[in-house]
Amino acid sequence: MSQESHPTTPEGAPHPEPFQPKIVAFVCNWCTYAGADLAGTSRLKMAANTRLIRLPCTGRIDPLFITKAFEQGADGVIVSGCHPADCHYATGNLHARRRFAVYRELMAFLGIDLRRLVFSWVSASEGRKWADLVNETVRELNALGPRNAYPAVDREGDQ
Amino acid sequence: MSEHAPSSPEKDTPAPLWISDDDLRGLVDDCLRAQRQVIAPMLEKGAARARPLYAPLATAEALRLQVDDPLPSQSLRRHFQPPSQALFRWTFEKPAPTEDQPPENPLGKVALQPATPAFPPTVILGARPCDAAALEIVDQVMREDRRDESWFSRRAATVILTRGCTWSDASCFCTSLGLGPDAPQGSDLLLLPAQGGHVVRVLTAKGQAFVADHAPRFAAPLPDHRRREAEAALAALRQDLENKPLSDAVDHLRQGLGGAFSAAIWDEVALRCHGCGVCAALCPTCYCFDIVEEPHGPKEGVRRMKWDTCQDPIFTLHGSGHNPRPNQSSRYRQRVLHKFSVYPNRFGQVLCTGCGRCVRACPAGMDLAEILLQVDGALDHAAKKS
Amino acid sequence: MKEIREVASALLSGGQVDWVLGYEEDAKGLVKPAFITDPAQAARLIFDPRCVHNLAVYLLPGRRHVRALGRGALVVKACDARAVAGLLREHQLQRDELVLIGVRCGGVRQDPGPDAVLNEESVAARCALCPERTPQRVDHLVGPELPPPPAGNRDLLREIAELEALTSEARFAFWSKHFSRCVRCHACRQVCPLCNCTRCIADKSQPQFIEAAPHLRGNLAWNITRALHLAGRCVGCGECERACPVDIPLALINAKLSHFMHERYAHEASEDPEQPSPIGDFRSDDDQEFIR
Repeated sequence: MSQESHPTTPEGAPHPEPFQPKIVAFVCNWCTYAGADLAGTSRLKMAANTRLIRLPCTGRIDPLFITKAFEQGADGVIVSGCHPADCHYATGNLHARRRFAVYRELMAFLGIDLRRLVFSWVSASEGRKWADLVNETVRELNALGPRNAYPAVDREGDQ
Repeated sequence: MSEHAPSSPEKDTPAPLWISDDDLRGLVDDCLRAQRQVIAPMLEKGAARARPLYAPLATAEALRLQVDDPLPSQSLRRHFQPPSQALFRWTFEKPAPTEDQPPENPLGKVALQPATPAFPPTVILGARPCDAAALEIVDQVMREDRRDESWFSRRAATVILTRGCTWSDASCFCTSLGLGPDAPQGSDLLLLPAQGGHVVRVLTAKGQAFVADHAPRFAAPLPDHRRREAEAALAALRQDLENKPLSDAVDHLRQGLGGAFSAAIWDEVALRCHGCGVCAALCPTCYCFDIVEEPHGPKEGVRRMKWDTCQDPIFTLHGSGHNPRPNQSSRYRQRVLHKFSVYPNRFGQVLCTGCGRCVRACPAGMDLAEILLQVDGALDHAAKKS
Repeated sequence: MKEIREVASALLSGGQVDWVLGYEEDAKGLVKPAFITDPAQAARLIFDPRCVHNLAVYLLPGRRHVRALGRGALVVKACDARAVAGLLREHQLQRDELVLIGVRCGGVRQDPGPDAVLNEESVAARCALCPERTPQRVDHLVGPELPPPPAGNRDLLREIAELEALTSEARFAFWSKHFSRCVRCHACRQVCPLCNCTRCIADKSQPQFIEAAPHLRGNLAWNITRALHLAGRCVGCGECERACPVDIPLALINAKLSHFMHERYAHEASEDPEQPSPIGDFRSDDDQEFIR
């Protein structure tokens, strides 16, 4: 239906543009968001592909948010929060840990490529870890290519 | 665009024809080559059991001519009213910068782009008479007030060849509704199975034109003993299906006798009902739908029509939170009375063809025929007699 | 089933309950749920391999017309009793609101009749996964000890393993093919005793988290969400798959997640209402290999 247009070389062969994955990152306010901020203030070199969504705690993350992110066009999703035992609300991330494990298992069973769904614990002081995580994820998604299987939002209204 | 007119088999009935099984497969081949979609009953491999459904044929070889195949589990509804259908897409067009007045809406003007569904020419081959008859019944509500162009475009693009039934089971009750194993309603050509082929009854002008288009396939003379064989089988089947108490119950409800609405029987009848909507999902005569909006951000979106069912608890839920049908008892009553009282009152036909899918598929064992008898039994008998 | 009838009749005539919900067969030999309010009618109650329905669903608070009948007794197989335990665990019911008549089970068919024979062709696939066929924590326990069900032609765990052996693309193609057919009737939800939210998230439009129209995208969101909400709570009664009008193999998804909960968190659906719900619970040493 809708084709991505590539600039072509004179011979007519398509010249692929570097693919920029769209990544949605659900992060907790107290740890990962602060860690990401630290990465920024430390001027660490970081790919700019992530759109951060700040939540009070990973325990607030309803897996439906992740599903919606894929639905709305994310090529990859990062979910990150405080390390266990460091949660600002004591046990939020412990509840989340089980929820994420089940969600991941379900998505894998339904055929979603788990390389597109990344979970991590990044604390407020781990700016370097955040930057590395983002860069690593962008590299992996670059290799994987744009998400193709998950049905995209139907902007043409055909369906 | 010509409407699908109700069939009138009495005037100018052409003589019946014959088509051999080979010619029937050849007919499918002809249609496929002419880029005509052919939809027929298929058996798909399922997890627990084979799944019978109406599906497009990829080749003529795929046509099934068995006479004991189960009824396709879904009706033909989805081919005329898709479960999900885009109506239009909206976008906001940014206003051109101008020195005059500021734009009415900072987002811009709304532009609507109507969806452009395709209506490929289609032949439905081997539809059950109950499923074809349903289409004609639903035609009436589809042309009331505002003509549903999507429905009638699909109707116009489709030729329907029904196949007479060769078996019935305990859940069928078409004859109690004035239909039967060879009912002509909704059909353009009726094929009656016999040894080696089918007797063909031409029922409409559209059917006649179809025969003319494929004349060589229908050219073989009709063997008289085959015709008698087919008709004898039909007569036996009709006798099996006869159910006078049920026909009477349908009549009473249709005439609105005995105070069906206020009867207490519904509370008892609906106890088992889960409100799951499987009956509506499979029903050939259900047509209720909902309209939903799918915004993609603030600037664009799609409006769609989707199937809905009165059995869903939120079907009549108001924005205020009030629900005039707050329990399954009122919802189930609505289903039955809409089909057997309200619709016939308005359009002269009962909104049911007795296909029995609701009975076979209901996870709670709600048996519509039994329930009609049960309700009829509970009605005010004096009022019924008047 | 003489014992069930005797117990039911005694409960009704003794005034301990206003209704008994069990199984009966109709004139066609199909078994269906039976609401008995008159002790003399208790003779209608039967129990055999056609009794596939999970009657616990009728106890949900939303079934107002059932609640209005008064205090009730429920005939339960072990799986149904586990569903009741789930409802008690989540405070949807009080234990003293109902009487449980447990029936020892030898497996049920895929369909409620009219044939009553139980063999490898007719047995429900889910019975092979049943951990305990004698209902626990019931008020009355009836029925003879029955041999285990025959091994069925359909092996859910093998089907799950076969799917998992495919590439994720092939798996996605498999599920997309099925979910494209979903018409969002929500029968899977309506027949499930554990789907008991007063307002289902799929019915909420402000915001509309789950698209309502039955296209693949909306259907994925619905089926993913429902499967997830049932993880650790599903008792494997198979009613969702039996009810589905378009034959989506829902049992595979629910069985897969139940299996995962068992392997990863040593959880199994139990009849103990005090057992914590696995998603609501956690341990400090829960696996986190997948978290970077």
